[in-house]
Amino acid sequence: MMLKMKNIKFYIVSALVFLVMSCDEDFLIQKDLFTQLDENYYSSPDEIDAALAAVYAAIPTDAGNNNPTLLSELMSDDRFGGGGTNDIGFKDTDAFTISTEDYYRPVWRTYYEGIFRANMILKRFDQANYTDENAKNQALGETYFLRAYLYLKLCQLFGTVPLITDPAPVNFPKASPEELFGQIAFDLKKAIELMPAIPYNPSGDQSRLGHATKWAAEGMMARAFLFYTGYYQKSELPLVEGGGSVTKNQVITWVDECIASSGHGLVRDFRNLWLYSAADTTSDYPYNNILGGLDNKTAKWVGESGGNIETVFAIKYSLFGGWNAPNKLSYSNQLSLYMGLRGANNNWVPFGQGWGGGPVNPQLWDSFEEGDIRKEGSILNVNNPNEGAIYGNYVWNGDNSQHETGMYGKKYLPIIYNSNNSIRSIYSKFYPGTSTDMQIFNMQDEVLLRFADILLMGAELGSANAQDYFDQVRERAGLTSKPVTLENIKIERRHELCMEGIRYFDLLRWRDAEAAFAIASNIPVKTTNLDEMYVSSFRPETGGFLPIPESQVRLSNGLLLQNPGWE
Amino acid sequence: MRKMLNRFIKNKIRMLCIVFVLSIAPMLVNSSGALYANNVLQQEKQTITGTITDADGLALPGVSIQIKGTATGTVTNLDGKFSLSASSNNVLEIKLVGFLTEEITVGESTKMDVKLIEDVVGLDEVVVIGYGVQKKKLSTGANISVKGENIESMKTTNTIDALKGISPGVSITQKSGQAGSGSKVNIRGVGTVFKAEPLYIVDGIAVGDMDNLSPSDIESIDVLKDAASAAIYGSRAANGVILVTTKTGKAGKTSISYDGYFGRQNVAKKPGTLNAKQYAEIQNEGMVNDGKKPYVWNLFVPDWDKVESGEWNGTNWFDEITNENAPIQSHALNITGGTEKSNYSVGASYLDAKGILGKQGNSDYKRTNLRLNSEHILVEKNGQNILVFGEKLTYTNSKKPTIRNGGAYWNDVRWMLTASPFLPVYNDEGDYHYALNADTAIYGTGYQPWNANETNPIGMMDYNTRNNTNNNNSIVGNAYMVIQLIKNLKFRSAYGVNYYSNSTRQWIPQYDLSVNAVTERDQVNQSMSSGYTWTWTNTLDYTINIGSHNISALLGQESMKEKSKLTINGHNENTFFQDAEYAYLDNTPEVDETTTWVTLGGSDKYGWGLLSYFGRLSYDFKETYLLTATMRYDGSSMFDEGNKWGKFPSLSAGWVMSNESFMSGTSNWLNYLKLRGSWGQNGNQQIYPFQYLASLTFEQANYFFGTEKSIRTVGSYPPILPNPDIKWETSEQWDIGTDMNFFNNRFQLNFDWYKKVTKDWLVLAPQLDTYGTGAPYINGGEISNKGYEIGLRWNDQKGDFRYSVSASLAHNKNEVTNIKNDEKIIHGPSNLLSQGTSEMNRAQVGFPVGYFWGYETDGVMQDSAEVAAYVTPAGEPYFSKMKPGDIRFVDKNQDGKIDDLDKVMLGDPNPDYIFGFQISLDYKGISFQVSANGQSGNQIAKSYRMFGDGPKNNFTQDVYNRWHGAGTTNDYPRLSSVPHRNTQNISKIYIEDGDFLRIGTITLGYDLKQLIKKLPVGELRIYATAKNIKTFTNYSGMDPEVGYAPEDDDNPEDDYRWMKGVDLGLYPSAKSYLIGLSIKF
Repeated sequence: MMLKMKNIKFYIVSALVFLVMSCDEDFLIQKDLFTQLDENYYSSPDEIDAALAAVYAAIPTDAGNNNPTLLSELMSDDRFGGGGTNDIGFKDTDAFTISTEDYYRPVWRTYYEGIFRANMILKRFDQANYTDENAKNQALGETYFLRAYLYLKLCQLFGTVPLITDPAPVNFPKASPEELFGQIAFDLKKAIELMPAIPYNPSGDQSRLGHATKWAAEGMMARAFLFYTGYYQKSELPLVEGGGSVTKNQVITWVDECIASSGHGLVRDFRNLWLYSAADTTSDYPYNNILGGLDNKTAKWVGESGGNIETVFAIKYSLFGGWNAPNKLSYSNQLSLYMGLRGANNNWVPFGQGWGGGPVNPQLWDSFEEGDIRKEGSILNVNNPNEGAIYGNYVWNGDNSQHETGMYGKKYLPIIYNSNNSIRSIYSKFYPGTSTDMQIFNMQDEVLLRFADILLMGAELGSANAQDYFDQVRERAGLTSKPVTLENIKIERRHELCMEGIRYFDLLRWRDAEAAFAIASNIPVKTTNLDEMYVSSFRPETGGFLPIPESQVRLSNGLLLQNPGWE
Repeated sequence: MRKMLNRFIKNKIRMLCIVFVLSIAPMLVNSSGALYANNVLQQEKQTITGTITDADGLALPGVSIQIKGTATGTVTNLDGKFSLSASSNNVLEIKLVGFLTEEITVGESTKMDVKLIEDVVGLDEVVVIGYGVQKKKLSTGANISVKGENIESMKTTNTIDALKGISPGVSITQKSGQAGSGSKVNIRGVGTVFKAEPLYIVDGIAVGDMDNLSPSDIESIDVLKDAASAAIYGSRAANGVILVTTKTGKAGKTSISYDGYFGRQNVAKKPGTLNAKQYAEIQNEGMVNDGKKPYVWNLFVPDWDKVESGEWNGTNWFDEITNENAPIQSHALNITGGTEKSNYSVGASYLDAKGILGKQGNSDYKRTNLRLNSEHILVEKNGQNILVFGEKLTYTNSKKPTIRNGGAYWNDVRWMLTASPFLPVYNDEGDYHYALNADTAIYGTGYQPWNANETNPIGMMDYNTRNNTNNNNSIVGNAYMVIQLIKNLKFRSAYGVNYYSNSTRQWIPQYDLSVNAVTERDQVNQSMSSGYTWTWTNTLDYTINIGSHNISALLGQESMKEKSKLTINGHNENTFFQDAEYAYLDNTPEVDETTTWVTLGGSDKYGWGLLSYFGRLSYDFKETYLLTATMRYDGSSMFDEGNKWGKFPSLSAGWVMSNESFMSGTSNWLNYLKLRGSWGQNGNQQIYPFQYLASLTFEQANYFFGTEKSIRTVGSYPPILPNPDIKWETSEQWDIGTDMNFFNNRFQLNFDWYKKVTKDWLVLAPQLDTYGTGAPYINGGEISNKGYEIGLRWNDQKGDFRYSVSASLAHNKNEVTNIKNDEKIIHGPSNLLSQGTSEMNRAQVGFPVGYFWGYETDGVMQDSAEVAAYVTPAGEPYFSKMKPGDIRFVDKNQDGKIDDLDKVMLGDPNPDYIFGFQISLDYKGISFQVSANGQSGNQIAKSYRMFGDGPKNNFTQDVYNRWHGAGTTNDYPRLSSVPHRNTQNISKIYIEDGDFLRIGTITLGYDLKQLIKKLPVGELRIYATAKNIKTFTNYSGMDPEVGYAPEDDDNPEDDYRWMKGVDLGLYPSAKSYLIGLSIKF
């Protein structure tokens, strides 16, 4: 075992030589194998599609209490705060107060994430090598549409916000309404012009369902136009980049085109739009046996594709709701959960459990005309014998319910059925893999733009076909014609579009909010089963808008100013 | 510009490599056998024989006897005898670790019996420092060295826990009382927001934690606290370094030892939930307080008459899951031995601790350790070891299934505290009871279930945790060789690996326990992960003495690379066998497009490399003036070009004043006095990697186009704004200390003062949401820790009676001094105590990290007059519907609103003081030991129920502190049947002082060998140990040691490990009684 000294030196020298080799700088270069390098990205149609999907994914937020539809319903005169004792946020939103300074941060943050992702695509779109010109224009048009949609929603919720059109991180103050709506109009105009005019074909390929279309852009333009010109008392929409404007006539042309050529239309039975009409008529929900609609038939759900010609743009939810990656809460319909019945049990089938947000103002129930199918079709009244099981079985104060009126927004209630004394989402009839967890098993589409809305906007804008558009909507509801006056349109919109996150912004743009809230007050409700009077507390000094998350004001170092009435 | 800089740095590295080789080359050339010449004068030799014993006359084997100035020597045998050939003028140096070295001139006698005196002071003992050892008395740093036997004697399941109370400045807090959960360790305060754990080095290899080590394998643990000591570990040393050395063999007699114990463990303190009757009364009090009618219980509770009559107290859920007298056993066998050429150390140990909670689930901890260390002198010449080869290898297998514990919603312990006592555990068939349901056929009309949504928590725990198995294997080891090139110049090269492989399997049966707790199918989960990191260390070590000048120098190079970090996991449902034993993914249906529940994952997030050069120069003059300088130069793959390399210098100095002649006057009472001071800079690089890269992710942005809700389109987006400037975090620390021995070394005192400032703090500082994507880590903050540490020890011997008393105290003050954004705050999570509660922990400039943030209160309003008087400056009531018994929240800014602007610091989870003491007595084989540890000045936020979303949750006995009428209390509000701001607002009602003093271990032992001298063993000790039998505290919760924080390695935004002290129903630590046996051959 005796080694020679010479040999030892040899070993050492070899070791040292090896050492020097290990000084190679490559040793300190590490590759990230689980992300794609940015510099090469956005170069193929597939990559653009994936990037675009991430913009769509930013429309629904993980925080159900920040769902813009829910927020605007809670703020409206048609719905109260509700929820449980602990859902202070519901009551805050309803009462224009705030207890948690960053309560609205989820929607603020998620929407700016969507805007950032859209800005990335727009900045890099030129490097994408498309061979199909239509596909290229469609993708680019969708990106513009989505950015406009996100900004429009931010402007409706928060008033004015920073306008960011480039992905570079810059601390911007709020832009003016002109700048914001100028951008929204510009983007929507781009979207209308770029996207090919392909009519919706109920029997055609449905694989692109969920993507924005030229028709959605035309409808959204009408919404933006009406909101801006109404709220800010202007006659037309400005345009950024090159100036100019979008006139009312131009919007009417687009709306008319959408109504005439989109392939979209009204579903013949109003009830068939909503998930409750999928409930089993024999055992679970006899209501669906009531004859109605244009064909005087029993209700039968039209579904979310094919025959559902009425949905122009919607959030697509899925089976993948969950808490842990790769699942997310926002992949399931949290709006339904947040509006669901508090403390529901299996005696209330087909209506499932939820957090009880937005009890319906009984004044709305009373305001419907005789024979309007939309009254029972839109509102669950537990004192309505037509509602079946829940009638007579309803237990007040299911779980510390607040502002309880016994009326719920039926359009988005969780729909369940009873399976061996356990409840299941109605979707588990279509998808055997559906979760049994009531917090993630709702997945109906959340309709953001419905054809009936476009008809009524067309009527309100003063299209040559205004009376016809207006009558189509009334006829479907089982009502006769009325003159297409603004007053009548206002009532019609309230009844047609209630529970859908439209009403409140209508009130703001009509400048009717104060008047409406004066009426919606002193209404008897039950809070944790104690009688009290609901008093609405709209604060005009806020302009009807929500506060900006206070942490953002601080992080901006004073550049971002808090909204009036919330300082 | 940047390119030039890069080139410059590259050149610099190349230069350094060359310099390194050149500096070694001449030494190689010059080395020759001639240098090993032996110059000792040859004289006439005679054979000396003798026996070496300790003070008690017990033979000491393995004592080294060497003729001073030569390599000639021997070692005593089993009986302490030796025989050596020496001349009369030779001086024999008699050495044994733990004893004072004796030097005796041979003289004329050929017989030499020597009694060695135990070295209790240990000044001559060597302590482990980075890449080497050093005499304790020459150390200029603030270090702690703990011997293996002290660690073993604490009988902890987890090695690091044995340091509690004996290592001033090291804060050790259990993450949970569940055995195997590990502990949260901070040295000298929390210095950063992500991973503030020290660097753990086991036999030269960096490991993630010490959880895999068996206390019986430890030779010593050395803690490097000050920057100068730790700086040799450069970029990873900002939070201190813990060096673990495993046992090594010694030349001499083979030593075999066995230590084993059996014991029983119990919950130290139960939470005391209300029984059914108390619960009903308390629920009704809330109803009445809210102006409602009390419940008519027989309409809500089945068999209410039995509750009312006292025949049934309802379910005590906590008791139901408690494992009374849960057994624990441990066995450790150690064999060491060797010749002068080769030595070895082999160990095997086994620990099996049954969980004290989770009887129907599974929280049993099992660990097996094997150790094989050996060292061989391959080439020896003239008494010099020319070539030495050695290896160290520790293998660990552990199984640690857990019940769910931690947060508010994934916590079996908490669910036992909150479940209503009305629900029985089992039904008549012996199955888990379904939620109380409204079966009017049984209970009559008008009956309503008390809480139809409440699920049997024991059923859920059983289904979710009973069939969890996991199996963790790890190997940490290295092989090294040491070559002596010339005298005193040693080249050491060590190649080490850290390998782990873990697997888990879980089966959850199909179940139906309530409307909300029902599954369609049974489920199976399997996962495997493994990782592999290598470290190659090369050092040159040279010592030289020129007269009274002693110099030792170290030059080193190290490369480290994580080569793999593999994970693979799968989830499927509907197994063929519906049985835990058969629950494998292969026994599930194949995947088709209709199954949406299947998940698969697999990755290799291997990750990083570190390339380092370092050096240390230590100098002393007459062992009186001490000076050490170190420098480390680290390059890391974590950072981008230009920021990869960091320099970490340190300087320390010491003065052994007691060696000075002017101190001779005090030498009769002051035996040793050293003053020392140090300064140094350390780094921290623990962040999520690739912060500098602009990249796209495919996670968390799916969308669902088309008609099928089961088809997803994967979205892509940039997850963060890249930060190409990200670089090391630097911690700079000053330390001034002293070591003193008094009264013939019977009394020792160590004192250190330090100031540690972490600069360029690696922090995920919030950025504007309008930037549209995640914030990257930035070097964006500063945190300061200041404090002092005192260690005291008194030991003495009176005849056969030996005793020692020691105590330690450490004070630390933590403050965040800068966060580089405009908000100056890092926010904690909301909904932590219960749904609807707001953020309550913050890291904020001007405050200690993780402080509790909430409303200041001004007592409870006792009557309606006080309610009427609680008004805003404008005279308006602060809230509508206020009642006596409500809390008066303080409107700090007097703006008429109670909101976030009124919130203040309610408490600090970081202790001001950490302390401990030990007493040890020994008389004729009887030994007695007590050890205690504690902390003070910290607060704990506690909530054992969901005041927000669970008004029907049970209470603990704390509820009787409530306000229930004028004058009852000014501290706690009235009860309410619904969530109320009284409990939803975070205020001091949730904050308690966390001071405690815990008697950690009491051991009484006796060595039977003292009684029966003929026993064929060296020692046969029987002992009884009581662990954790008493905790002195005013804290009302189960256990004041609360190390829980929400952690998430994969998602920086959900990672709050800078928080601590939030008790949501943490698995409490066990109180245990052990009986053991220790044998030494």
